[in-house]
Amino acid sequence: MILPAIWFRRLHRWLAIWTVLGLGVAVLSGVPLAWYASKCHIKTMDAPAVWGDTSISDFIDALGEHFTTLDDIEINTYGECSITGERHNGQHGTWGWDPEHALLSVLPQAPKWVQWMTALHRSFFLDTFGRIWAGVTAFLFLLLVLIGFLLTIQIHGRMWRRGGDWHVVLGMWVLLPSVVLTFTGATMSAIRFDLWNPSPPNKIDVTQATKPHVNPLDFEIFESSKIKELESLKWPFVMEEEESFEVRFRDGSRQDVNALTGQIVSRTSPSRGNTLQKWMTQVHTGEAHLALSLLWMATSFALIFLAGTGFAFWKSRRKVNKRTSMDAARHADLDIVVASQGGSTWRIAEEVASSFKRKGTVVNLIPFESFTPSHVTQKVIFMVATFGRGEAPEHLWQWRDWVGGWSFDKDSRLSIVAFGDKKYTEFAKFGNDLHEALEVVCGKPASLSVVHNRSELEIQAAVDAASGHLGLPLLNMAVKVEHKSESTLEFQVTQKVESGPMLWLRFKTYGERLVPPQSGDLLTVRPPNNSHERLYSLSVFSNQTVGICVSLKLAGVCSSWLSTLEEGSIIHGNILENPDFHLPVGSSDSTTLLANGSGIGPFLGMIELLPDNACATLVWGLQEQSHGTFAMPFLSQALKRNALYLVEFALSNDSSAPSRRVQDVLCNSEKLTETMLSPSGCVMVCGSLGMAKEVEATLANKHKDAFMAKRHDGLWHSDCY
Amino acid sequence: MSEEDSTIRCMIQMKNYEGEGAYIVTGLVDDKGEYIRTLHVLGDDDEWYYELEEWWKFHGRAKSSIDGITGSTISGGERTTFQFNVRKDEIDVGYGIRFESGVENEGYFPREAVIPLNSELPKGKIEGEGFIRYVRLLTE
Repeated sequence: MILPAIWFRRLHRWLAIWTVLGLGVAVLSGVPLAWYASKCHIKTMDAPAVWGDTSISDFIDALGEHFTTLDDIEINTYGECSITGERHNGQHGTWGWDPEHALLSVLPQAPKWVQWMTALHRSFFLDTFGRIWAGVTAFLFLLLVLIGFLLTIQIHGRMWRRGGDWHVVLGMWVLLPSVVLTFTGATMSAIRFDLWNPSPPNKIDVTQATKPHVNPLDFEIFESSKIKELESLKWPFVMEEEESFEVRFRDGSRQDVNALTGQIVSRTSPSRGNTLQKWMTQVHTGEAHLALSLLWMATSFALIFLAGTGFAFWKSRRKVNKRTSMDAARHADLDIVVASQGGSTWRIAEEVASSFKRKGTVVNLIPFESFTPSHVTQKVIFMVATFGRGEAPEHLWQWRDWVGGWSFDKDSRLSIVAFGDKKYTEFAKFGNDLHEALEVVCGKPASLSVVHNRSELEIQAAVDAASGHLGLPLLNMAVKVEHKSESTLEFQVTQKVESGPMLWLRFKTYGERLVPPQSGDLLTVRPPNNSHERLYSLSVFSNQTVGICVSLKLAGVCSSWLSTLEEGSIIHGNILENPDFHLPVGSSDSTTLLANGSGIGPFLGMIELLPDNACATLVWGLQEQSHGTFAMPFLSQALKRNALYLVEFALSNDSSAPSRRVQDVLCNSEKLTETMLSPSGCVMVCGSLGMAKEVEATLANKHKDAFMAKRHDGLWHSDCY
Repeated sequence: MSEEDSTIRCMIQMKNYEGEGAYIVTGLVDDKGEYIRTLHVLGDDDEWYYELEEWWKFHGRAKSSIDGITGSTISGGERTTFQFNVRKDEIDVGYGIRFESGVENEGYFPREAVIPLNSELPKGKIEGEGFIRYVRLLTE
């Protein structure tokens, strides 16, 4: 994957246009065809059981009641039987057979619309041209699907499940079925045009011995073979010595049987290529199994949906691209250079520019791709989005070449504000890379600030840092960031406990949320008359309440406000998903929870979620044991049902115990370390970043391999700030 | 069928060609090879009948009913057996039984085989020119 993502996207887009035009009809007609195959499967679902162990002889014998002479018996892939012969009334023709009631029935025939739809599906009624078109387009569609996959991996890595983008999520779900469907379709075209000629069936002639004439009902092959194994049986044209019965079985083999003696005349077995071709055809048509025909129906619907979402995606991106092509004025106090992927960073940059303008600063807002350093404007803020797993927005894939060609004035000062998402390991990597590159080009330090998930608080801090570095006035911004997924919820306080430097609040929630929250998700609240959101880790309880533990800060705006709430008070906020910090499903006896101070917040809900006898361990760092009083009912209950096996307090300032920190507890307890680092043990850390770093350093120092393995296996979850 | 009719049993064995099922018309023709009557049609989708051009000139114009004398198409390597009736006064008067075949995108054979309609039908296999390996006829 050396090529930049934009090349995959462009190729994906062109292939999509081609295949929608070229294969759209085939996909649409595939839906009713798959539906018809499913219907036939369901109709004949009981056929094998009904046929049971009936031999060919028994069946022919039973047909004697209806027919004077027989010409052939055929049983199709679905198990529907048709019989050709002459009836006792002299009528010659083909009839169906109802095995359940052992009666003649209506001839099983595909309805006319199925024939019509099949012709449309495979050649669009354009004969050879249509077939070639369908074959080539099927091959291109295969490329489209594979390039879509590469594009997704290129952009999202293994994070695609959390993307929430239906086009990507659904595309990944139908990836494999689409590949199989397209591959078998393309193969059928290849067979049709003799591009794949497998070796012919292997025929062995059998030497004939002189044997007496026997009634066909007594032929050994007819007595020993079961109807459910049979595909077709054709009678000889006349019952003479040189004539033979032709018996074809479902496994693709064929035996010719002497018309009078019943001896095998020849045996023909299919080559591997023949079998593979037959199997592929049955897979593509859904004849092979009901599950397949249902899957093809669902896949066809999904492909239609994907074409729609892909078009909508392209349309929305075009809109953004148009907006960024505006021309910038040349003379200004400040250039704000924007690298935006989907338009959000551009909107934030517009807000920042407006705020500067209100302070009297003349600002140029310039798309990254249009920027060249000016000798007039020496102050530049780069506001850059991160794309995928740390890349530059895809249209800027040549950014290094551009930056390498820039020449800044010796008095130029540069700042970078990088946006990213901490879910990704390479958080705001493009910003870091750009920072390094600009320092090299500019020859002097540039400031760098990172913003997680477009947090308003962090945007303000980052812009302040940039302003400070560039000698610009500080702003009091009111950046309105769009939160796409959440609507504002109401939280009513049901419990409030102040416990030393901590505040425990429990809320009842009002309002609808599509995804039920889980302990570890984040509650975002904004104090009155304040534009900056704060995030608190949530505990979610079985009685539909949620709880947060707030660290009370001296003059802290939000914590002070929260401490003024009373039971019954209502606040507004949102819940943000934080999937990296959910208790893993099926957590077992070796779960270890490490917290200090208010880091206990999300753990109380998680502890409630632990099953009985889970034997988990909690190490909680506190100044004094009395500060943890509010959590005691939860912990006692969990200890009683053995969900928690051990609760260890690390008290740093309690007169009754020696001063310890969380990492000290780990250092002094081999058993605890052993439990934590056991191969299946899951460790969750919440609290201060300092505590987390020291814990990690302690373990890395003493048990490096086990610790690294745990992180590598995704069994180490940390949510520390 | 009346007492004046004679039933002929017919078997068609196809060659091992790749492709779709063949449309095959069996018709009664006069001494010039022109169609008098359709005896049997293999291929039940009338949308493709026009591809059997010579027969279509006859059938498409006359639009005589072929209900009850049609069957499914027959693919490469397969064989099929069917019956048709001819009047006794049509035998030994220079008429013949003509087989016309066509396969989508593969080809068209207006005279696969033409077999004189005599009291004594040939006992052996009559080879076809195109998709048909051979035809066998038997008076019942």
